[in-house]
Amino acid sequence: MARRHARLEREVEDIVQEIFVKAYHKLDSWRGEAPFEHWLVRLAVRTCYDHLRRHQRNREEASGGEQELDLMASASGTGPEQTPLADPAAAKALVEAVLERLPPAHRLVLILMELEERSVREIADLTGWSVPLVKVRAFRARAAFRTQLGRMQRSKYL
Amino acid sequence: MIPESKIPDLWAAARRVPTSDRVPYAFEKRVMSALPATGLRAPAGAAIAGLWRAALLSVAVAMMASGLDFAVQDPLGEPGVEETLELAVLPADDVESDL
Repeated sequence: MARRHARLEREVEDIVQEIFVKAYHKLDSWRGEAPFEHWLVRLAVRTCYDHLRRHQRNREEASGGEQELDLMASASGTGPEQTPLADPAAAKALVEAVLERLPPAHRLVLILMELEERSVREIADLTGWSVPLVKVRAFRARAAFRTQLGRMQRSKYL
Repeated sequence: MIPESKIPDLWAAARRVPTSDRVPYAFEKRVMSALPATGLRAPAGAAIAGLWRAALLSVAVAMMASGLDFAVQDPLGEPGVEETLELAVLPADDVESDL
């Protein structure tokens, strides 16, 4: 899960460490009503979200560059022998590059909904958001994703 | 160019790549070393802190009780419990010594 929220390995390690430390300290808040895994995943999702919000500014400054544009060319299959979206690794890298430019809430909801294929109710449970709020954020996040992808494509081909 | 209608395919392609679950070497040591730094106390330390809290609470309760006792004493000079006890015990002691 942490690897979906951060691209740099040291960031992933920081997130996982924070999750374990939080889990250790908040272990008494687990009442055994739900499986332990659910409790831990909820803690992990909220920790990842906090991490995204904390590092948003750095991320905005660091994002950009030719690498993403090259990924886009690879994912979209501009070569004569390639079919569009034929390369899953490039598609994943492109998706991550676009996600990196989105606000934390949009990014989180898209990761949970599109990459992890979780339902709206599950996302509401994991994030603590209400079901309508998840729906609204998912709608806006998809729109933002389309806009960002289009912007990156235009900057590549214009 | 990726048309808008192909975005679901883009997500599907991205999902096909499994996320790595590689754990760095000796990562558990790093996590364990982070635990004391975040304010975790040893069990003995926690017990001592508990004893200190209990002692301070006891002192506070004793002070409150003595203050309350002082406040509820009869202002007209009626003897309190201690004085009544003394008056009852000491004469009896005098009688015994006379015998």
